[in-house]
Amino acid sequence: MTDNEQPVGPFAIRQSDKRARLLGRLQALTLHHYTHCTPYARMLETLHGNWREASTLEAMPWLPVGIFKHLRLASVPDEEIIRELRSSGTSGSLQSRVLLDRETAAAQTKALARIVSDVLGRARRPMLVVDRIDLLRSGEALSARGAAVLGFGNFGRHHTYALAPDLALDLDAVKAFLARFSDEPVLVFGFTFVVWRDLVQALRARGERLAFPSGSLLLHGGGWKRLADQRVDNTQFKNAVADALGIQQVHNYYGMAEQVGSIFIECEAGRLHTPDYAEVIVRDPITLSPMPMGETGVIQLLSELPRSYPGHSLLTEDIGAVLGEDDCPCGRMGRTLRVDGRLPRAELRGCSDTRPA
Amino acid sequence: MDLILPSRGDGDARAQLDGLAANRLRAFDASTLAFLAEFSARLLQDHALRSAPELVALGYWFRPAAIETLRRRHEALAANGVLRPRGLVFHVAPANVDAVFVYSWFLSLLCGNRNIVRISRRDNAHRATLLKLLGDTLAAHPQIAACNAVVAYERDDTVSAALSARCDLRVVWGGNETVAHFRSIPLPPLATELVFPDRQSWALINAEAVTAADDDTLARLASAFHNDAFWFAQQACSSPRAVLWVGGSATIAQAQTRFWNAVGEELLRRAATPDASELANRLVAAHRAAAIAEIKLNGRLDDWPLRLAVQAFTPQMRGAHCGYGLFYEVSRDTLAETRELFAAPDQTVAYFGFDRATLAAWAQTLPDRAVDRVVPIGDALRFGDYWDGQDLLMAFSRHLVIA
Repeated sequence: MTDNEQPVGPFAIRQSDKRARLLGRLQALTLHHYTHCTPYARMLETLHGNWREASTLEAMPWLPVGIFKHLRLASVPDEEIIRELRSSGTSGSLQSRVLLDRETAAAQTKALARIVSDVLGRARRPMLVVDRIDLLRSGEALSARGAAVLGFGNFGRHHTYALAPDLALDLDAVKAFLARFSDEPVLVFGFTFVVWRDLVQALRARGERLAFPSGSLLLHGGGWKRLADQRVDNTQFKNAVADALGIQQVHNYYGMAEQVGSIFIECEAGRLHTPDYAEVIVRDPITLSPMPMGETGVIQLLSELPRSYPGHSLLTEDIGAVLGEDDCPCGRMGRTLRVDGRLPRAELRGCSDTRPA
Repeated sequence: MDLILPSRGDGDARAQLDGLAANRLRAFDASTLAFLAEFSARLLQDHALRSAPELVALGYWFRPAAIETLRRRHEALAANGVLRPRGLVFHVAPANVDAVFVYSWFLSLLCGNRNIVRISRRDNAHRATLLKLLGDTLAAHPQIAACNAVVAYERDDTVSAALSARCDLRVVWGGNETVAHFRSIPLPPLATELVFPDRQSWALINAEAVTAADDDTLARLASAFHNDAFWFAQQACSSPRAVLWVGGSATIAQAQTRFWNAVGEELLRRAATPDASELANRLVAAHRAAAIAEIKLNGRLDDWPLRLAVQAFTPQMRGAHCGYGLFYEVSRDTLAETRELFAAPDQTVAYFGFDRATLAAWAQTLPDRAVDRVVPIGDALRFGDYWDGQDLLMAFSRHLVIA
């Protein structure tokens, strides 16, 4: 992908043009991974035998996203790998391993920048990171949370962490941040559940309400599972954020460590938007056939960014629906998405596990 | 540590454990037989547990007639003296299969032992009903209640070490990791240990017998296979994960079509519905298998059951198996050519279309530790007093020789 092939904006391409453009790029990626990643080639030959004939996005071969928890898949020589992302997700204790070379990492960073600045504007804002201050100091491989903070950190300046190493709210640090940047809009960033539990709820518990400067924006992602368990939905989340922080502009995003960069960001109309570099297909959870718009099924994500690992077409374990195409009131082109959560974990029935749940 | 059973006024786990030493039972004690008879009757009458075939089987297994058979066998075992209880037995039960802790516990109880049973806190579908039934039965049999303690505690080595230190026999069910972990916790010098680590199992089918079978036989075979493979979501040690076909390639192809069609019809007949989460697990397992071995997809990726043709069922493929209706299919021309497929972790071979003499001769040729049970398809999950190559009546007893 070179610069002159980049579209003007991250949500600029109409659906009809986008599909043809993506198809060619994704087919080329399939061939690239097939040629350079032996296990991937074996999986295609065995389980997706007619992959060469795929003439639509729907017919493209995919990998189940869980495969990255079991296999180390790279389509570039080891010496070109500069970063390994790890993500535990929410199901099970195994971590996904995602291998990045310079080119893929750069493409991810660039894509993310275009998407985020579409919502946030180009200026770098003072940034409050709702996570523990030592997040980026520990461990060799980068956790998904660490990777997200690094990636999104590019859109801020004067990064301040809101939480102590034990995830306790560092109210003094937050108040000092607010005192210093009292008259310009700031960016607050964090994982959905961490923002909820360790900032919003922690403030409530202390009977504190903060007044962030007007125009400030909260960007959060990472999944709703733990909030759904507590029966907190997006509206309640936004109301609670407005109440506790005085922030009106709240944007959720949907994305995963296995496809960093091509995230789906929530617009002013409350829909998640597919960027120009990506596509979403919703499939029947049992037959895996593509489903009509509006129907709920498992989400398949296509992205033109993954080049160092075969993650350009992934069948996720997330449930959602395509809401529309080129028709969001916010004016962004492409498909809009609703994400409802995850497939429930399959019940374990074996006799070989005495470990307490 | 929480005392789950029996229910005590003070709920004091420690007091219950300390009280165990003061009580004695004989093997096949009249009080034990009365307790088990009531347990079996209550279980078989319980409407809530009817939908759990493994618990119905449990109730059936401990009915008085079956216990009489065990008693006679126990008596015969003591031909050179007497069988005495081991003493205090500490059972570590698996998290996912409720019935197992009851088999282990009650067989040990029958042999006259006092028991400490550690169960997981995981909430299974019928767990609460089963525990209540056990609690009610124990309440009516105070002598049995005084000899037993069912406890739950979070993984805690000091507790496991304390319980191990007071036992005469430790029984560890469930998983190589758990077995390895408990082996690092010392036992008293005179205590012994019985372990049940990870095992895997096969179905073994004579292709010609399938092509020759009439429709009724085939339907019964499919129903029996369904019980073996689907009751525990194919995750029990005894559930067949690989199907070994014996015959010429044309015969096998024909037999496979017939057999899997019949299994499909059986699933329909039972109104079993495919599950999206299970499919997601199968997809990952199939892709793992494709990456590590030469496989061929028999059918489609979204098929349930999902079938993968392979040359062998390697340790790696065993590790990548998820259950939930994923079958590796291996073909060989003759039974003699199947030997090298088997390995130490293999537990059960559930067969169709072979006679006993043929199987007995074949079993003599298997590698040292491989295969502990060869049973007809349909009996794979049936618990037995011989398990993993151990005679449990013997293992739960001490043979005192009288010359």
